[in-house]
Amino acid sequence: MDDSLPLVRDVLDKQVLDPDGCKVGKVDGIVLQPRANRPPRVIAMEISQSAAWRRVYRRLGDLADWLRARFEPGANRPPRILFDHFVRGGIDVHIDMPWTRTRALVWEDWLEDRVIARIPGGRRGGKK
Amino acid sequence: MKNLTNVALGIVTSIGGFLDVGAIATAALAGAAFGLQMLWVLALGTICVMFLTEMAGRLACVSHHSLVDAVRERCGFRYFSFLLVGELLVDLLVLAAEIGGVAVALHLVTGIDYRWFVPIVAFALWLLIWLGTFSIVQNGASLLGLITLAFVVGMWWVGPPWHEAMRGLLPSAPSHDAARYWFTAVGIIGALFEPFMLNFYTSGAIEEKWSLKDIPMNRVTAVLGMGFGAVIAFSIVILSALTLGPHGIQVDSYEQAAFMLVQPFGSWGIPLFAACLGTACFGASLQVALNLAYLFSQGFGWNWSENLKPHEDARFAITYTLAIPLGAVLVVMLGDPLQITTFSMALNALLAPVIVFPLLILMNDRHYMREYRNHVVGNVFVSAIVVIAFLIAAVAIPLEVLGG
Repeated sequence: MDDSLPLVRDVLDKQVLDPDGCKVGKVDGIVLQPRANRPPRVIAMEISQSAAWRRVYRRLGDLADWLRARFEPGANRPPRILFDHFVRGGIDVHIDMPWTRTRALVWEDWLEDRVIARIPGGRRGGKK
Repeated sequence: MKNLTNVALGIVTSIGGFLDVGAIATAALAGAAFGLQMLWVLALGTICVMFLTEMAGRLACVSHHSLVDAVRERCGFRYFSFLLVGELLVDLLVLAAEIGGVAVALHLVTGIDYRWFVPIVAFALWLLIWLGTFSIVQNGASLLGLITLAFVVGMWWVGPPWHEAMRGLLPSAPSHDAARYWFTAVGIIGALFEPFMLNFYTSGAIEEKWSLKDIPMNRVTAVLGMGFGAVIAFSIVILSALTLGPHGIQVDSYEQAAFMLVQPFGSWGIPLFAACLGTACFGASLQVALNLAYLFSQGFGWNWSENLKPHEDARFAITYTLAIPLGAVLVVMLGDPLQITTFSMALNALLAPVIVFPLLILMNDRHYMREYRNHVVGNVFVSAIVVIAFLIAAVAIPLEVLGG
């Protein structure tokens, strides 16, 4: 039992960090795959508002899903990080893939290009 | 020497965090209406807030997580969603009250309607956060806020009745107008237990990369910073009791509150009050606006830091960019900044247990706090604070109706 991983305590709702320590998001949901005559297998961590709000109230999740499908740039499915990339849990979850491969920061990129860069002082480069 | 400078800066910052539009307004109201009788509420609230601040700072030093971060992670999204919605509403109202406070300060000096200043104040606020770093925003505003020491000087000038002040430190029932007395008491506690303050404090600790070696500094900062802040708030109560109460002035507006500095400083009194109100509110509005961005970014795991360029934490930057104009619109729409302030302080009291209760859990969590967990005495105190917070939250709305 020593190598067991309490999913709710050490994975769910924890901050996901990529190998460079960049914040990818929080683990909003955990995806299990049911298997015949065997325990379900953990296959992915979900980083999506709809997964999070669905845990509060199902219809809030549906609303967040509709909003994402309607407005998210290049939206298709909510970002999932396969559990194969899980390195360790605890008070943070560390993964072995860079954030650029996760699709979790599409809004960050869109806002940066379409909004922030158009405000004086918001362009790339330099330090504050 | 560097450590001493850090401690001094931390104390000044804490004074800035302690003294905002809510603290000034509730202290002035309490003094004018009930003399020195409510000093005990201020003393009780200060002791509680010292404990809470120390614990929140220790959490950040040990776990490198802010309070909101830890609440989401330890208590789950469902609990966090209540905190998110509650704090969003309360922080927007407090932001409106703080922006209104700065605008009223400018009105006191110029005589021009305060509403004209609201967009200017909001733009200045946004510009400072957009371009500034955490230390510029925090330390600059806090150093300016030292002008509020004028209240202490004014109190000495007027000559406080020390015996009566000492008696005021003992809990007592109201001699008249009980509903208003207890509503004001809730307001004072609400102004001290501002949920934004605790999370802003932990976020600041992470911005400034506090670690285990900063635990003693955190303790000194929490006790002395809040202590000095309380001295200024005590001075406002005493000044208000000695200069406004005897003339039957009940502080229905900031203009009336400003007269408390006329007796000690003469014609300089009103501009000095305006400077105190303006700088304290501007400093606090920076903290509230940033805290709204911290709340969303930490709760949803986005990149965040006031030290990053806006393109490096776009969602963080967008959050305060939207929050500030919303706060400004609220001031203009709701009118009367003093009413917004007293109402938002009661809502603060309502929300306080939602943020204080998880602190009790977190401070005993071995994963977050390791060997720096709370001892028995700390747990007894924070449990008592949780009970007080729940009691106050339970009576906040009925008192709002009866006494507000």
